[in-house]
Amino acid sequence: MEEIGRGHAERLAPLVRELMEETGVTAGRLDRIGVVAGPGSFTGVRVGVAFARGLALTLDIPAVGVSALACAARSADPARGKTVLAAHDARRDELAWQIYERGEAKGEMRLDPVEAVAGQARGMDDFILAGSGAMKLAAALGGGLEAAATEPPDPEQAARLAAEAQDLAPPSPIYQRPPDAKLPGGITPL
Amino acid sequence: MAFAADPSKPQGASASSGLVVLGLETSCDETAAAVLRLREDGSAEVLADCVYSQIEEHTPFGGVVPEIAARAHVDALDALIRRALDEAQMGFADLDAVAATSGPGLVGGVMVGLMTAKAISLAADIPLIAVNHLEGHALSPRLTGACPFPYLLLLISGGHTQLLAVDDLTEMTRLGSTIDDAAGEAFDKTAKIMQLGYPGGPAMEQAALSGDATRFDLPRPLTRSPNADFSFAGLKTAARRAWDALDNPDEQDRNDLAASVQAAIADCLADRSRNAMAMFIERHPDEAERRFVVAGGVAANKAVKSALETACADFGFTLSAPPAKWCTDNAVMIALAGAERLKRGEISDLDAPARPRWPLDQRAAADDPASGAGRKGPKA
Repeated sequence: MEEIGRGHAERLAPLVRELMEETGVTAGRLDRIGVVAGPGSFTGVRVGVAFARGLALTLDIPAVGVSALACAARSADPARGKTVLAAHDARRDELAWQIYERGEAKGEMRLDPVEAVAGQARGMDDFILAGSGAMKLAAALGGGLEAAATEPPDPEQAARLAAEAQDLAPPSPIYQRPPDAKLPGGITPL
Repeated sequence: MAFAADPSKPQGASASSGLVVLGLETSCDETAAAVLRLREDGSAEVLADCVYSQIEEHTPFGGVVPEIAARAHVDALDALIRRALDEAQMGFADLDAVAATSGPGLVGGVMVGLMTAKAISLAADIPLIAVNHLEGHALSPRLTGACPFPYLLLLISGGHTQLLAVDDLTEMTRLGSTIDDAAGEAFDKTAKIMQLGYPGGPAMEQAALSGDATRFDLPRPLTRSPNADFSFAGLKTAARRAWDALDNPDEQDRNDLAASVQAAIADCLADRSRNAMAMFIERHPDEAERRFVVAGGVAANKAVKSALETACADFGFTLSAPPAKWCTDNAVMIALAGAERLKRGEISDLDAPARPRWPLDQRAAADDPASGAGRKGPKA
């Protein structure tokens, strides 16, 4: 794993080739591709998803999209026995968030202001905070809470989740919000 | 992978020799995949040509929205590649290389095509060629038959307006380019002013058929300057003023203004091309056959074509244009550029970057950054 910030498009393919050379696992031996499909930077997510879908197409194997929130929840609760509130920092004082109970996602991912998520969290019993937005949420909750798995998604957890996945539909990026585009006349598209 | 022979396709050694390249194009609002064979004699055989146009997704916004385009590319591209290979009756093992547009263009979309191509290159163990989108357009006249170097190319699309001396695959000199809007942009933006819908070019041409091109006296920017550069911003402003000055404009007003705008754009393109023709003749004084090629979506406009025909006749050039489907963005031209590069052993590394700005003629762009020059350097 490498911290690269911008530049996924340049580094990803050589990194995968190096990984295959180091491990001796050639492309032909792969059974499935896992990719973190978001939420995250729109462009970064698309770089990963397009690459994964290209590999899957060429090798004729499934590619599976894994939520960054699911990765964070699994990292925070590897034994899958607890409740995790996983949150991605979506900027603009908003969080993309989801609750996991004993490793299972509850409902859909939502995008809400940090304060609104904090309000929901105050009504919850014992839970773990996880994800890139966990620190912001912890601060909004008044501190004293510990946050787990605040780093970018762990590719090992992503591979684990992809291996377990039942739904083998081609991965689509998980976008936390619609494109910033206004219709003529300032009407926001539905 | 074995397929039953298709009796409609030529068989035998000559049919299977040459270089087979998969091309991908995702730099604007068309998602495209194509398979092309570059034969040993230099001719090209198009084995598959698949395009998914996103135009409906952008129409409500009156223009291409980069984020919407990028989202559509990533969802459409892999199935389109599958379709192209099926049409070509080929598998990945039959490909000699994969080529993808890596700029200039909308970088979010470019990355989708480039990353997909890198994945194919890695998984199928074939070379990757990162192609300059403009080089694809510049080579597009060679898709349909012999168009030997050198030739003069006018590229007129929604994103680009350039005059290039195409002396060789790797020797393209920019003789002129727009200093503000592209020609297609001028059509789209003035059409928007007149509420003609999007894309504006075809709607404008239709309206102009019933219009009087002499009614509005619109400027022909730069036509007195000795270079071959273009400018359309002033024309756009003049068209807006003319439209706003009309009291309750009716159908005829709209048609007349459309005809006047179209005539002004056509005049500018022909005038600038004349200067470029003179420059081209100076570069190649002994070239017996002078070829002028027009490519890009605006090449489909009949008034533009007719003005260029007159200019060509005056300077002894023969005018040609690729078929309409290969004038606009397509993957066939990217596959051709990739195959030509592959033939010369010019392949790319897996770390090839997406390049939102990538002038074909690096020197001209640096010395005279006419086109979209900014803090980050010349665009195209």
